[in-house]
Amino acid sequence: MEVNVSTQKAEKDGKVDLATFYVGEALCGMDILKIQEINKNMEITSIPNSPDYVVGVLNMRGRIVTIIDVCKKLGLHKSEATDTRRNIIVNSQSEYIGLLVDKVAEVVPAEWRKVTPPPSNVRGVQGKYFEGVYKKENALIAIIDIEEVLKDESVS
Amino acid sequence: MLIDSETTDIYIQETNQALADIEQTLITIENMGANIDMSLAKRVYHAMHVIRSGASLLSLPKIKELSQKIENVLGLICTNRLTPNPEVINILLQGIDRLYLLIDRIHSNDDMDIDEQSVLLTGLTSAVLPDHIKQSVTEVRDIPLPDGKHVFRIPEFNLIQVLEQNKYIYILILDLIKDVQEKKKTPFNFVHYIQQHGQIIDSLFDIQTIGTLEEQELNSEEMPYFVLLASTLSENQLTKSLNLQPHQMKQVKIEISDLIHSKTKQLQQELTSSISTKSRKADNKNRIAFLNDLFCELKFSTDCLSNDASSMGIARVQSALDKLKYFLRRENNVLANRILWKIGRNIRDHAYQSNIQVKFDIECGTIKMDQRVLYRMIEPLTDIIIKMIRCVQKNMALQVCLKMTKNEETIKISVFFANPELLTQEMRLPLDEEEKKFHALSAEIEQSFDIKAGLNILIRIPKNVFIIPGFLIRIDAHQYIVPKVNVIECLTNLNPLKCSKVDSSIVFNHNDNCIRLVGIANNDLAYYQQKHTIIVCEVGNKCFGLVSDSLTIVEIDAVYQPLGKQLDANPLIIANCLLDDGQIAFVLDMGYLANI
Repeated sequence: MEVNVSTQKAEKDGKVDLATFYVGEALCGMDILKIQEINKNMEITSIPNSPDYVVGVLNMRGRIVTIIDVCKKLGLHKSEATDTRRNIIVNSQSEYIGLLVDKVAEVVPAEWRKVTPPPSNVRGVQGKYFEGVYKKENALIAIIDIEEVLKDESVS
Repeated sequence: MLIDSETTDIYIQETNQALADIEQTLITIENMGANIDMSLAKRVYHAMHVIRSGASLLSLPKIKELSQKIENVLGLICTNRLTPNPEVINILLQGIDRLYLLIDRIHSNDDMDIDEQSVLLTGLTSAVLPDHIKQSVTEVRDIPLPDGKHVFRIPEFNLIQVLEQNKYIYILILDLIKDVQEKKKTPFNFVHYIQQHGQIIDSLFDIQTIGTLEEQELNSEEMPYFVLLASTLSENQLTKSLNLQPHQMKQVKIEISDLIHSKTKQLQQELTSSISTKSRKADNKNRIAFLNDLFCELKFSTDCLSNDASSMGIARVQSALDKLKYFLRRENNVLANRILWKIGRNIRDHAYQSNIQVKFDIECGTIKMDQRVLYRMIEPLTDIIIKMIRCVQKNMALQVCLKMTKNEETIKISVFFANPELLTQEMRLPLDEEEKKFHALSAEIEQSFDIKAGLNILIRIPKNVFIIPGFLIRIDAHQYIVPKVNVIECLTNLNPLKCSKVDSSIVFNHNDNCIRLVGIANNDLAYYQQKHTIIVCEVGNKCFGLVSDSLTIVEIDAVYQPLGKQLDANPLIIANCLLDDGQIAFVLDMGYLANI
């Protein structure tokens, strides 16, 4: 099933299943329906002359997918290559893009009405990159705004 | 089925044997190349003629039609009008394969179509004929029989062919009861006997009125059998030779008088000269005219663009490019069958080497595809079919089918067993390598298994892909495509590369020319000296040498894949492409490199 991220933005009521993952030490999340797949394929071809947050391109069953290091894109400290790293593949504006995250965590059922607006800064990251914050029992999940994260890539 | 079952069985047996001989002989003819042994060609022609006559006798319309078309092509080979190159032989072999299947299913009333083979064979026949004769291949002439009830419906081309050989055409009025049954002959003996005196163009009898030889009580004491015969013998000679009464024979003249007087002469005159060259020249003339028009439009629109970069100027250039794209598509697109037949040959070779029985049936209809894509599909499709064959026990007779269908955007290729019951257990083929090769063509591949339908490999490939002819090179750790249009020369085996620094540029002397070198990583002299190859490029009015680590330069028809939006700002590359091994190569922006 192909779900375009941009078409999902307006739907902000009711329940949502958040796929959560770590970007550095920050626990982030996104609507699970926005995710095409999660893989640990690290056979990524680097691209010369590209910004440092562009990790490279990946051959995903015949489809060339650009992989973005979310940690670098959000301006966090450089993340280390570990076995837990995964590519979260999303469809943004008819294009598949891979978000390289440090670790994939659990799926958290949530309600949009309990999502609070993001503060101006979430663990050192500008608040504009987040749709909001959801409070779990003992943690805060920063819900990533994928379109915002990817928006300025071409001019960065 | 009109004749008794014994006759049919004899026909099946003899035809299968004849088809096997024809198949072998065609391959021998192909291997002979230009030094064709005409006696072999004539032998095949004669054998096919016998098959057709038998089909006519047994009223097997599809076998008759298909064998007629094969016979037409063989006739052109026998008269040196058509060279039996691999493509021609393949089309003939496809026709033979379909005849095998039709014979196999002679009792089943299976409505197997012969459209695809007919189209290819007719196309082959008409391709070597001048324009005004081409029509004769499909135009049918009615020749009424003396009984006033029936007509022979014969393609004009077949009549012209026999007239061209200075043969007369006769209608023989025979009787299968008196001439065959009462004389204890078999119908085939009788047909063979007639064939000794001429060439049977067609034959028929009215079975609805009179019944069959097998029936206990015939509706009539006669079973009239009409034969349209072409022979060099005169009317008198033929009457004597066949021991016929004068009323049993009628020469056909009036019905074909126009063919005798006009088309024969034209055919003789024009076929002896190289007629097809004329149409080719006309085609070339049209192409050149089209390109000339396009050049003018591009020239004027770019002139206009340099003065005023308005949206109108850009639209004009874009429109010219669209026309060029359409033109190239038309030029590069060919009937898929014209290239994919090679898969059948590969499968035949594999079956022969492995000592297994495999029939391969390919149905592409009139689908056209870019020939460069088609050529690249031969190997993975062959490999897939061989893997499928290996799944089944060696002693089983197999038939593998490849069927192509299309919709608006995509062409689907389905590969499956005609006899799916051979596989009783679900299975999945390891197709990693084939997958990569199809991915490189922007195609998707999936396999499915169903107890009823069996194993099915489905490939979806875009109808139109953008192909970049280029050279694949390695620079540092990356693979790049340099578009051919920008390459003047490739200088290989240069390590250590003797270059020097002049002002701020690194240069290389080649044939008294000083070439400015361009590298991707940096401008350090040591970096250039480690390289093995220089690709001398020209972009606009700038010439430069791009240094590479490749020892050899590989030509490639890369299938364009657009860059992701995140890479739009990257000045070095303008596109990606997938290679046959699954790796990714980048298409270099030569304009950027020229300005470094």
